[in-house]
Amino acid sequence: MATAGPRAHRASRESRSPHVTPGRGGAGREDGGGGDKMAVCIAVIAKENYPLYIRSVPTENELKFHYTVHTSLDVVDEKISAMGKALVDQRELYLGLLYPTEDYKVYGYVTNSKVKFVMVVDSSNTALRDNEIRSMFRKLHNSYTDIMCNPFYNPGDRIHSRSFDNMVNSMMMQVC
Amino acid sequence: MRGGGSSGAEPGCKMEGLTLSEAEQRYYCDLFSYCDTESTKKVASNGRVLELFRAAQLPNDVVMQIMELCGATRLGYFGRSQFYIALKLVAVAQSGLPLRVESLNTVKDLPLPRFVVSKNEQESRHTALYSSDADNPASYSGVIPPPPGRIQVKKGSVSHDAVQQRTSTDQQESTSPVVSPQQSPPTSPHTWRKHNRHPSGGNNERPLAGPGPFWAPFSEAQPGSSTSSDPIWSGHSPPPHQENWVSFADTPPTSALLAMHPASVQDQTTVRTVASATTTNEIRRQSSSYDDPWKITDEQRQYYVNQFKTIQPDLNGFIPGSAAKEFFTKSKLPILELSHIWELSDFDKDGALTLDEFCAAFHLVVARKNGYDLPEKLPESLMPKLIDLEDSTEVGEQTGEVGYSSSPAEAPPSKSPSMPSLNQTWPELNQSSEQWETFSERSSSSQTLTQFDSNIAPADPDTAIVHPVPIRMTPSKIHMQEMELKRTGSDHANPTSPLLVKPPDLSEENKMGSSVKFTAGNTVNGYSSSDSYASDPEQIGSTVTRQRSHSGTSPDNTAPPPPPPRPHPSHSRSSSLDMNRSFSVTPGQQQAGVVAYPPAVPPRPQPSQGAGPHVHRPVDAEGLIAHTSTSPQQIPEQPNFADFSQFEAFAVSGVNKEEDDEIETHSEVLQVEKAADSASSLRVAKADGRVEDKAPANVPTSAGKGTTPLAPPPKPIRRRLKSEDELRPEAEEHTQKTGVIAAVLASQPSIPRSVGKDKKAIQASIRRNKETNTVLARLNSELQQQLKDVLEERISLEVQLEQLRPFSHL
Repeated sequence: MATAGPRAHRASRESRSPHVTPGRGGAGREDGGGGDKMAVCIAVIAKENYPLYIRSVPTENELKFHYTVHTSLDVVDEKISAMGKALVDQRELYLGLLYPTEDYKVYGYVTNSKVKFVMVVDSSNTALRDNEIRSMFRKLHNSYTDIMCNPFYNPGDRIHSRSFDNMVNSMMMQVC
Repeated sequence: MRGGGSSGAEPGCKMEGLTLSEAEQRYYCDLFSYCDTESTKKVASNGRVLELFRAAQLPNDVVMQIMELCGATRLGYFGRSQFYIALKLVAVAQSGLPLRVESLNTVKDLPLPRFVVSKNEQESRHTALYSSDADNPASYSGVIPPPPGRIQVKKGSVSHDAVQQRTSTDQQESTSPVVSPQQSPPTSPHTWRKHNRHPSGGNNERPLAGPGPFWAPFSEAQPGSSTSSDPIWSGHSPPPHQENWVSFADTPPTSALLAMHPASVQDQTTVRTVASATTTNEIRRQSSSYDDPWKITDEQRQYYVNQFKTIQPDLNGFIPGSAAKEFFTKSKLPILELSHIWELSDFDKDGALTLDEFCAAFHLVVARKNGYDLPEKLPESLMPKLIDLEDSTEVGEQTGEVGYSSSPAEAPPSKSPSMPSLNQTWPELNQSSEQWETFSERSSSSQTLTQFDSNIAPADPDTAIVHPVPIRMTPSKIHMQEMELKRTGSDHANPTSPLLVKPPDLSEENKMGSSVKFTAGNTVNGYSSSDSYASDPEQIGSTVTRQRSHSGTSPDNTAPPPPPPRPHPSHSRSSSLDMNRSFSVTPGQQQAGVVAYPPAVPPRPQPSQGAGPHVHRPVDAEGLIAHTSTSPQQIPEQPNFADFSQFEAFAVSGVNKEEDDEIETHSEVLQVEKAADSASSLRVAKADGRVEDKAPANVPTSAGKGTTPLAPPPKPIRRRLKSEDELRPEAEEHTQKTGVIAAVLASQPSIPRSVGKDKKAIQASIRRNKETNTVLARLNSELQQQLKDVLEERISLEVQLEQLRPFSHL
């Protein structure tokens, strides 16, 4: 314990030195915590369709994920408008699979305030079921709400919250 | 391994090949003692050590290197030898030499490692130490004073203190601790000595989470703490002791910090208390709390609570996010950090801060301002209590639950509800916070605000959130209400009361009115027992003298006299003579009077009435007030006197009133009234005496003066008198002034009473006293001026007399 202590501390300290842990490299928040739920990229898009938060697994080409998320917004809008005939309140928040590609699947989630959560999941991760995705989105939404509760957060700003980062990291695929 | 572990006081002892000079040895021993927050005598608290290294102002990598070299990283803790080696390496590094193990012994004449710590820090550290030391309430009180000084736990000072303490505790040396060149010998040494506790108890606890948790795993092996310690430790630097209070922009930072400390301590204490319910928790908390850098001291806590009250008077209520944002924005921390602090402290994520959350947030802000990095997770000591001791509101309960789980891990359980419910609850909470907000705005009363004045005053100039603490200049609501009550009462009692007549000092009049009412009842009593009674004869005599000696027998004689309770009737006369002077001065007087007695403001009996008589006498303002107050009393007595005597009575009563007003300002209402009664009664007696002694001229004069309360009669008389008795102004003024003074003095003794709100009353009375002082000072200056004028007149008259004399003989 004693010996492990300093080392562990040092390690954690190093990893923590940048407060907003840029994860390992990329913008992605990575969190090895949740082994089951592992997304490859998570993005929060504002109502005006600009990103509030994007984090991807660093090993991949970040740009690719950004592009994927961007293109998925069209699908999101499509789904929203399709469901928009009903009252907004009755609209399902979880949009489900937006579109699959060969390498991964993209899931979407929209809040009542038109804030979109987009999650890119590796296709090879077959263990990931729909309800797990839903739960992940729920967590995202909760965390996002917490951020909104913060009086220092201006809606529309980029999200720099550590707690949010931690939460997203927990959902990202852990790349060791 | 632990080299000369235990005693460590051997001069030039060698530890693992480390040769230390005697001074070094002593110094290192002290430092080790300081760092040995758990009095293990073998292991230095990591938190403290880190602070120490930080105080050494070395770059982080150098510190890491030192730690590696000394073997602490290998061991995971700082044993004595490691510590000594580390200190030596610090000295080496500070000398600019490369860090090498060989340099330990080869470098000669190495200066002692310098740990920068400001005096302030030292003081604050001492303070914090003391304050945090629950076992030493006495020392605690000593600590509180300098808010900034608060727990200055910073590095060098901390270590220094620790060193000193060590000295006292471990080595029982009474020599002053080895002070690094840059450190000023802390004054605490003796105090520390008494302390005899290991430093960790006190301020040392303050070190913020970093050292604490970091240290915890080493020595305590507590799961909880280690969990929290790891992230915290890794997060940054040595525990942020409650250092200098965060210097927020606006209001007295010191007060803020000061409050913060107590708050934190309380927080901690509360946490402990709660934990006691659960043994394990308690143990964990207590052990971790010792070195918990995030602990809040009592004074901090108190300050936080006070600040909370300024935003939200209801301690069980919430501070809405917007209000909290404004408040913390004043700390000038970057928004990002504030956002993070918010995330940490808003435990239930409701967008509002409860008292505990607020204290935690404030504490974090202070820590951040002092340079400590923010933890990743909310430290245990800052978590809202499990069982909300204040009787939980729903947030409190939630907080309690969350706090209970206390593993800083997740978002509070309250957050887990499903999205829909969350969405629903959130707006509700928002609404409730809005309601809270409005409530707080409405309910923020002057009362609470005034109470904080004294707390905030001592705040540390260089720290603490400068929160604008309004200092009440106007009478508080309660005061106003009191005055109103009195006033109405008095008004009813005396329809013709001088209150109506008294223009100049509305406030005074108000007071008078209320006091009058009571005085009327207590006339008899007052009369017999009044203190001023004794002085009356003197005054009367002096007044008579004054009146008779136009040539200015000495305004001086009359002026200096002991604070005669009431201005003589002559005063009124003289003052009335000098219309110009009075007019010019009176308004000022009146205004002063008004200002002087803000508490009495509410009922302004009759500005118009006072105008007449008051105009004459600038000095009379207060006297007039007295008049009005006593007028009610006078009224019943008036029938006893002849017309002139009535006037005199009024004059006296006016003066009495004035005194009464003053009395009221100074003391509780009841007391004031009684004093007023006595004063008025005395005046009445004086008036009687005066009437008898004085010529009719005098009487009218005094009557005019006294009849201030009675608007119509006095005015004409006054004017007449004024023309007649120009020489008296100063006498009257003097008398009045003395009367005022007497009234003030008379009121002093009676001050103490008020039953319920001692503190508030005291503050109010202090305020009134000050105001009275100002008024009296003005009075004095005016009287002096009038005195000079009168003297000049006298001289001119004498000259004329001289010129006329030869003619008369002829």
